Order: sequence, then C-alpha cells, then structure tokens
Amino acid sequence: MLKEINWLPALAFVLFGAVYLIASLRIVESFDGGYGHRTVPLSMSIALLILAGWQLHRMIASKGLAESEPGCETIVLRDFLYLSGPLVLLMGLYGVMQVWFGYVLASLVCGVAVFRAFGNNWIVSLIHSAVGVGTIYILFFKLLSVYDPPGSILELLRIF
Amino acid sequence: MDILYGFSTLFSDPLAVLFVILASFAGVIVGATPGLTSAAAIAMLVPVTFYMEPLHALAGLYVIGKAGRFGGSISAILFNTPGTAAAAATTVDGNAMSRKGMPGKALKTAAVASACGDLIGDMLLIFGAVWIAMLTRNFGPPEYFAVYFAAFLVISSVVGASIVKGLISTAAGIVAAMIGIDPMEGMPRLDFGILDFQSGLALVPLLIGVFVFSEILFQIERTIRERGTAKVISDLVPGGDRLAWPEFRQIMPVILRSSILGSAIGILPGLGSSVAAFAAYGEERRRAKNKDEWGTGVIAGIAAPESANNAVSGPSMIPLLALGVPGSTIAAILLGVFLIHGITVGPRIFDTSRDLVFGLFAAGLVGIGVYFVIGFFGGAAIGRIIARAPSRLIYPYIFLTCFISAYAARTNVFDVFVMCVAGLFGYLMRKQGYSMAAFIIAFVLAQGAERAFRQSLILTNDGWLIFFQRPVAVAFFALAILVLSGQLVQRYRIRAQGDPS
Repeated sequence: MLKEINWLPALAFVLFGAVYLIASLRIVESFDGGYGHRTVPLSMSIALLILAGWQLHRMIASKGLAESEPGCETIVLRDFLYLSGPLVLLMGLYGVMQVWFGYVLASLVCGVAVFRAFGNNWIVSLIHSAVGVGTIYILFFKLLSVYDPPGSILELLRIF
Repeated sequence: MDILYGFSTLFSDPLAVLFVILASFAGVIVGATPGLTSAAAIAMLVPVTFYMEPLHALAGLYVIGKAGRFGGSISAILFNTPGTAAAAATTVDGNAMSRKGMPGKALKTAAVASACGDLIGDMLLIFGAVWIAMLTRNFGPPEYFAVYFAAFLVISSVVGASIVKGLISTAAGIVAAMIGIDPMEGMPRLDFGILDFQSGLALVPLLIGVFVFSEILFQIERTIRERGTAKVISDLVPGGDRLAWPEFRQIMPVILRSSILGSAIGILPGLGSSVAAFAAYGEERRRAKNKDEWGTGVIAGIAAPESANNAVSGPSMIPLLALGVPGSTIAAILLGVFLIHGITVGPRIFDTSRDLVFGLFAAGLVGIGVYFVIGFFGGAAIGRIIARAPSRLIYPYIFLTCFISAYAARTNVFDVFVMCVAGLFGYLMRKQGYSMAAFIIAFVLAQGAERAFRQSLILTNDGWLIFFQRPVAVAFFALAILVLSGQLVQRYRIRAQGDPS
C-alpha cells in the first residue's frame, strides 16, 4: 500500500505558525502599552498555531480524516516526492542560471525539463521550449520593456 | 443615468472596446479548458496590465472573469468535465443532453442563461453599488474593522472542506501579509534579516503560485498516473442544436429566479459561483413537476445553474466597490490592479474615479454581449478545438508564462521562488481541502484590517470597547458570529446524519 501523508499540510501550517510566532515574539514595540506593529502578527500566528495544531491532532487521532471530508484527496508520499524533489532542483537551477546566464538560457533549460515531465520527447521539448521562450522574450522584454538582467557570466564574457 | 456616461467613456476609447472583445474570447477559451480557471488566467495577466491604461486593464480582466464563468459550461456539456468548479452543476443535465445528441441545444441554453443571469447581476451592481456606497460613506475605522472581521469569518466558514480548514487558510493568509514593512509605523517585521522579505510578499507571485502553478503540479501528477488518456467529444446531431422559442419561454422563469438567487449569493463574500449554481439547481429541481427527469438532460437543469453562476459576477463586485472589501478571488485580484494603478477602492470611488467605474460597468455589459455571441454560435467549435489541444503541450507553455509573470511583477527572481513555494503549498492545500480563495482574500485584506484595527484603538481611551460602541460595527460582528454559528450547526447536523458529502 502507498504511504499516505494527508497530515502534511496541517504540519506545514503548524511549522509556519510556530516560526512566525517566534519571529513575532522578537518584534520590539516602538512604544509601551499600546497596540503596535507586533499585535496582529503575534495574535494571528498564535491563532494559526492553535488551529493547525488542532487539525493535526484530529488527523492523527482519526488516522486520516481525508476520506470523511468532501473535496479532499489523498496525498501519496511517492507522488509528493516525485513533484517536490524535481521542483526544488528546478528552482535552484533556475535561480542559479538566471543570475549567471540571464532569462533566456535559464527559461530554456527549465522549459525543456517541464516539457519532458509532461511526456514529450527531447526534440519536441527543445523546439516548443525555444518557441515559448522566444515569444515571451519578445512580448515581455521587447514590447513591454520589462528589465532583462544580463547573466553575470555572459556579462563577463562580453567584457573579454 | 451614469451607465450611459460609462458607455460614452468606453466607446470613446476604441482600444478599450478591442480589449473587451479579446477578453471575451480569452475568457471563454480559458473557462472551457479543464483545470484552467479564469482566476488563474487573470493572475497570469496582471503583470501585463502594469503597462496598460487602468480602464483597459480592469475591463479586460473583469470581462475574462465573466466569460470564463460561461466558458466552464462548454467542457461540462461536451466532455462531462467542468472547466470551472462553478460549471460542475451544469454537467449533470448538460452532458446528459449532449449524450442524447443535442450538445448544440445544451450549449445555446447555457449561453442564453449565462448572459441573462450576468445581465441581471450587473443591473444589481450598477444600481446597488452606488446606493450601498452612499450608506458606507460615513464608516470610520471601527466599522471598517468590523467589516473586515466579518469578511474573514464568513469566508472562512463557507469555503474549504471544513470550518477549521477555512480558518487556517485565512490565518495563514493574514500572517503571510504581515511580512515586510508595517503599514502604520513603517517598521520592518518578520523579515528574518532577508532583504527581499522587507518589501513583503507580492500578490502576483502568490496568486500565480496557488492558482496556476499548483494546477501545473496537479497536471504533472495526472500525466504520471494516466499517460495516454483520450478525451471524448460528442458529435453534433443535425437539428438537435436548435433552441426553440417555446423552450426559451419555458426556461425564462427559471433563469429569472436563479439569477436573483445567484445575485443574492454574489453579494455575500466568499460564497461564489459554485455555491450559487448548486443552490439554484437544487431549488429548481425541488420546484419542478418532473423531478424524476432531472439528470437526464432537462433544459431547465442547464438554465438554472448557468444563470445563477453568472449572476454572481456583478454583485460580487459590490463589497469591493462599496467597501473596498473583495468578496471573491477575482475581486481580490481586481483590487490589486486598482491599487497598482494608484486608485483607492472604497465608497468614494464613485466620486474620485466615476468615469473609470462606470466605464468598467459598461465594459461588463458589452462583454456579456460578446461572449453570448461567441457561445451561442461558436461554443461547439471552441469545445472541439480544446478537446484536440494536447494538455502535454498547453501546460508547459503555461509554466513558462508563470515564470515570466511572477518575475515581471517586480523584476525580481526572488518572486519566482515565492511562486514555486506558493505553488507547492497550493498543491497541498487543494489536496486536503484548504481554501486557496480564503488564503488569497485574507492576504489582500490583512493590511487594511490591521490599519483599521490600530486606527480604531488610537481613536479612543476605552480600548476594545470602541468596537461595541458603534451600532454598525456591532451589527457586522453579530452577522459574522451568526454565519459562523449557522455553519457549525449545519455541519454538525450533517455529520450527525452520517452523510459527509
């Protein structure tokens, strides 16, 4: 049987709430005795922590509440890892490539990876990725004049 | 007759009319594509609108939302796959009629019902919003905080798989909005010393992440599971695509009742099109003499949900324009676009930006006409094209657009990472029935709510009592608690009866 991790979103919210509760506690109010810029983050992170903690507890106590609630689907560990693992790698790759080589190369490589993930062969992936990146480049960077940061390595090569 | 002024504003600008026509086409196509919602399309297009005139941008996005609601019925009727959640109720009788060999009639019924519903909803918006704005003009910070509080509680309790999940989504949205510079004192907070966090999380990458990127992740997962699954489209049968006058007369009362119901639901924050569609379908089925025939392709079974889900469109803008509080995801995105263009939304918008607001209303009415013509005469053709378009090529293109849209919002690679993380969060949230709409609406409203809360407390020495000294504020608090209690009781009863669905 595939391992189900339906508790993962509740756990993620618990962690989100906990991290922001600690961060809120570290905010120093600019004046005493009033409701300053700490009040809302602090109260909302406490509320989030309590609600998400309660939800997590319910899920653990009932051993998977997903089936009893409408609009819920099972989260399978294997599927989640198949998605999140490559996504994290892709994010890292895109970030590094965008800084080093600029938008076009970074998007081309990531585009090919995503076309491949949807079951297209290498040639189709390369052609469609190039067409997509080219179209977007003309629309956003040429027509709409969005700032296109030159990649640092490409910039270096241009100097030499 | 301010709406005539709106028409003159719209038609004096040919480019605005062109955008409305293009937006109608785009909305129908996006709505008809299963998995793509009009909110997702609007989110992706927001960065493009930075470079447009406010009327062009707002009219285009508003009409995409309207046309998208109708577009969802095309795939619901032809492929038994609702393009949007709002079209799910249309699937029951719409697809049954299609399988009987009359997909054309089903599509024409959907087009007529959607346009009529939308028109009635827009009438309520045009005449109701100005009236409500006059009432809310004297609201102060305590009243505004009560409105925000009510919006948070109502949205949390009516969306999501459970009330707790709705509340969690709302709380997470508020916490996410607190990152960055405090709106009143200008102090940085919750930034962990990271420079990119100091300017806060931007709305566009979050929107694209939770609505579009999460959908791409869903589609990748589906591709891994079901490679090579083909869609089936019903063929049009000659003579079976005509909507006769007696049939139209028969469904007119259904359209009228469902549109009024949809409009009423549209004013309430958070309920949205899908609730309106199912409520209208259920109500008309209850009233029908031929209850047993419902589900087998009854024409009223298409007219009721379609008119109700489109009737939501106009009234869902009333809380936004009259109070500055968006009642739906699309309204939340439009609020962002208003702010990007430096327009403050609230009751005074009818004085400060009268030409823009009434131009927007006129654009909505023109958009209804355009998508009606597209749907009535070309619905089946659009359905066929979409059925043939391979999702293995469509979604990677959407992926590439997501990256550039997230980046273009602030020309910052950090926003691309925010979008990816939001997408992964959105994927998990959708899987377990947490509400992405509640998350986004809370994110958009949080800073305004905080400002109203702190300004209220500055106004008085009585502390929290100020919220209970204002009758309007008390009424909104009472409304919020009433809705929450009602939902709790209803869900408890359903659980006690042992029927989770």
